[in-house]
Amino acid sequence: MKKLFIYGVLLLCTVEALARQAAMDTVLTATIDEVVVTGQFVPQSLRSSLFKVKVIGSATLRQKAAVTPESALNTVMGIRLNNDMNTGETDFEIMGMSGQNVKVLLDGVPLVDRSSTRQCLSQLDVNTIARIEIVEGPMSVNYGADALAGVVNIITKQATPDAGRLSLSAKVQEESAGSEYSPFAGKGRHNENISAGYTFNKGFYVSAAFTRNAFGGWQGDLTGRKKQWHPKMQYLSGLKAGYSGAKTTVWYRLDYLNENILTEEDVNSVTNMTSDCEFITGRYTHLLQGGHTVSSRLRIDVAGSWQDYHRRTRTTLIHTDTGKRTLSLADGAQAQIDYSSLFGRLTGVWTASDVLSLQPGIEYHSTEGTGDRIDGTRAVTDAAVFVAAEYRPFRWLNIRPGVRSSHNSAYDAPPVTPSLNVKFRPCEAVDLRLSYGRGFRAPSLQELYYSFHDANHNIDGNPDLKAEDSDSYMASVTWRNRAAAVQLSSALSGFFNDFRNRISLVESYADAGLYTYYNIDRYRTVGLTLESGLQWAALQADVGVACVGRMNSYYGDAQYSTVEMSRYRFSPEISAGISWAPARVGTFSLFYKMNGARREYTLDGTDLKLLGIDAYHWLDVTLGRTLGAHWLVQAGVKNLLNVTTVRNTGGSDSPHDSGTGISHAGYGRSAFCAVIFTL
Amino acid sequence: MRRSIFTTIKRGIVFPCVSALCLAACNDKDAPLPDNTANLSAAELGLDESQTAKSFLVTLDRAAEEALTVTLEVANSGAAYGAQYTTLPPLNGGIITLSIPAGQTSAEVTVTKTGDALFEGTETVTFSIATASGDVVVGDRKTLLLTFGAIVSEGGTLTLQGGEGGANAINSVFVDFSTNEMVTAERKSWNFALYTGGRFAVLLNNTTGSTAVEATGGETVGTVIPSADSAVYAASLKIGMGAGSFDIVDDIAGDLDKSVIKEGKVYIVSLGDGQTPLYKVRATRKDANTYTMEYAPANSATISTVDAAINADCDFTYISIVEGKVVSVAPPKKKWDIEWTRATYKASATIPYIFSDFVIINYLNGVQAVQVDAATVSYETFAAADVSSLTFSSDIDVIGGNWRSTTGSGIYQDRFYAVKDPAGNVYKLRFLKFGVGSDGGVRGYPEIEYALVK
Repeated sequence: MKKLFIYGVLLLCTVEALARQAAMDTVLTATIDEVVVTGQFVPQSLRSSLFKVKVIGSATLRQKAAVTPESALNTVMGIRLNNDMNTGETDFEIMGMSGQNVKVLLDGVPLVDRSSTRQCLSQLDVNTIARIEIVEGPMSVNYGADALAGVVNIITKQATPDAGRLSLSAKVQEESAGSEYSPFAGKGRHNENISAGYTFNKGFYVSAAFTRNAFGGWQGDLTGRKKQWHPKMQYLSGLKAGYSGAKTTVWYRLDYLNENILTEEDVNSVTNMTSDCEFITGRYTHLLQGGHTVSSRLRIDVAGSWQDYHRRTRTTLIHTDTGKRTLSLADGAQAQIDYSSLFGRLTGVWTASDVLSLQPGIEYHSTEGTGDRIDGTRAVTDAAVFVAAEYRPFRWLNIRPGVRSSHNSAYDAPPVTPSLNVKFRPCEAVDLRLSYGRGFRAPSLQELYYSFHDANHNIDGNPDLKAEDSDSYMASVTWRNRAAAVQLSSALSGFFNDFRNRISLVESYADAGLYTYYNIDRYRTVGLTLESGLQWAALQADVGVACVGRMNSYYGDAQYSTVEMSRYRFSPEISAGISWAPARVGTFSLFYKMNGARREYTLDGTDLKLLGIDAYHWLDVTLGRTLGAHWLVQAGVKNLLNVTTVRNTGGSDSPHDSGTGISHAGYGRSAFCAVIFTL
Repeated sequence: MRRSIFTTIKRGIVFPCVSALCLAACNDKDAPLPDNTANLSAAELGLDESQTAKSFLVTLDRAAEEALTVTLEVANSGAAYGAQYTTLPPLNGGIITLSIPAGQTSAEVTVTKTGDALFEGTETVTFSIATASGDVVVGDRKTLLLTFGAIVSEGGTLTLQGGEGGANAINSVFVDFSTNEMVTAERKSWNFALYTGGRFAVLLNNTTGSTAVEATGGETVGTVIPSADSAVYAASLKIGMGAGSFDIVDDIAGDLDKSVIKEGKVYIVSLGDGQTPLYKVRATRKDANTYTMEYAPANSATISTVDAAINADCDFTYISIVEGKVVSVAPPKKKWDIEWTRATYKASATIPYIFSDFVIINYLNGVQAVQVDAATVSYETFAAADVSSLTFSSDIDVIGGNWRSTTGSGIYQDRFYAVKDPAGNVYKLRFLKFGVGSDGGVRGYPEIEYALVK
């Protein structure tokens, strides 16, 4: 016992400040505010930002020990993840709106996706992410279509400014999948990363990163070869080169992903055959960004990107008695989907006077897709002009109007999209933000050009679709006390979104028996959130409560007037994060989220029933300790409350299944440990 | 200093990363395509006294891009080529050479009895696949024993030739277990089935989803229906994907009293399977042995008439109003046990739905079937002793669509079927592949296995 204690004491080495990772939101440097860039004219502190921005900083990312970007968001207020067991992908929603209502950006540039799920988020290397900025509320003036519910902006790591410096980091993280684990390959999660960067004397820098992210799947309750969660193997590599000078910055970035999601079928005992279906994805993301300070009043920024996404379906039959493998010739066994996108944006920031700044910009975005039941090869091109102004007549008042005008080759884009953001600062401690924005969601390539005709399906796209549009209103009050010892902050915010012309799949008006898409629906969401934070010496705690209401489409319907219903169906969420980092000991972090029950009125046959998903709780705990100047060791437990499936009576939207009755939220309590080396 | 660091980066990081990536990509070769095998359509056939010729097929798993040659070796046992039988293609030095054109999947061999040759009933000819050109490999079913007499098959495997179209395969296939024979009929080749059993009954084509409604506006067969009304009729005749009701199709259990078309009335008919235009139809019985069908396209006033004499060998006489003649579809009454086809069935008690890969039993001629749970007795061990504990049913849909799921796993492995044929033979039947899930089959060409039990 004594030996153990002495051994433990000997292990205590000098603690290197975690501030090395980023000067951002660490517990030890409490006076520096987090810097945000999304939607801002210039990088601003979180406090000064006109938008309500949520930041998941690098310290939080490190403490969550996330191996994928979307799992880093699973305890963030307002965000829910949806795991699709068929495709092996995870989609997410913000403020009750999902998929195509949220835009995912990489350094401000939109990422291309296949259909309406946002799988691009899970196809980024979490080790290259500096921080994630989430802006709730429509960002359509700056970012155009599909930013109805909000924007998730992934900011990648910048090179160290010190010239002549080589930075090197390596990480090995091993995680179990529930109780399944095997070292470095096979069951469980295995994430290895190596990154290096070098900054030359004249401001040039270059960096490279390579990550292997392997997930062995999780069998769950299934027997045989089948697995509940599909194994996924990702190889991510990235290269970045740039120049950062006094007046000019320019950088180029290339990311390549190779991903393989494997679905194994059970053995057919009659024919002694089985099959493996692989979804093989290749994603190239080229990014070029630059900025030049022309004068003290004018700055110009350019962003451009070329992206290439393809996903191949490959099905292989295996004869279990001979071991022979052949390609399957069944319908749909082999398939290919290709999407590519070209993007360019030019913005300027002109400081007209002390009280007025203007940000004009033009943007071009072209997306092309083949496969995925799209009729032929289709392209959609969007060109837009936008301008935002920031008017600060007094120190305590900041007004930001903006307007965007879009033109689209395939659908009727709204000609004018306005927005207005106002920020008051009645006193030092209080900020009041009001915002109104118009948002629009473009019809997807599938909704425009779908073509699915076989024995049991008759679905066409509708090239005459208009964009969905929305009016969004947000109001928030933030209070901060700036006492030296204990820092408290609290934010109360409410939002109301009114969506119109929602695109839905219904039977064709012209041709009974054919199904197609029309702009017919209306939808509303309303919500209230209260988030509070505390910072006291080595302790940082955040707690949030939210209540999101979704419109009940049957309310007021004469047919169901006998049923007692409310206009909105509300579901609560609670999130909490605690981080305690006593000096020379280590860091203890805890992340908790309660996703409240969400039930909505659904037609079950002819009856209107309250169906939906039950509540569930998620808890992650991480312990971290630095050893020496270069090493960080972490260990912890994810999903401590052992959540696997959650009852979901709402069923699925698919006409094929009657609803499995469950949603897959996780694969049980998993332990992990990680070793990180930083030069 | 600078150079060495750069070299270090290159050597230490970039090369391993790139090579690891290459490794990851290179190990990822596609598996080869499955073999294209050549098989004979049955393992045993019988050519009895009442028949003069018998045909069988040499089939490929999939069409080839170039023409192929397959040779069959022929061995006689008691039968003499030329004197007692001839073949088409002809026998040449003990070999039959078949050519399968590019894009085709089968070639036919016909064995014809010579004139007045007499047979004892025990003579046999054995055909076996000797060679196949190109990439084709000889399959498992490579020998066929043809007996010049009736046979009662002990069992075997059959690949039903549903034809192209995948889930929408163009053919219906009738199977007779005791003779190992299949009869294929194109689903669109007929429009109405005329009952031969002594009473009036005209059935719609349930294999194309044909529907009919009585003419509501007093139209006769000669009335020209304006396109607006035509559109209204078309909407009321829609079936599938939730549309339609059981009033516009015949009884799916086969009750002739509940069929749509009644004698002497005028109906607007959709022939199904996307066939246009709509037709006006009126059916009557001219006499006990003849039906008269009057018909015209919806937008035409020209009435055509077909007098169809019934053929009592089959339960129904099939006519095509598109061709204006009687066509051959089903085999004679007791010469088939099950039919595999696309068929109108039910999604729920109120909604009709068209099923692919649906199996109907020949209930009109005494065929009965029952589903057996593989957990109580496995297919391999099922024998004559197990038959007595089963309760056979004459329902048309005993097998139906219950043997498979068309999404996901495909054929259910926890069940098989026992079928009693018109002669009282009991066969056990199971489905091996049909092109869904990982069974390795091709949609439209299901493979069945059956064995004589009793």
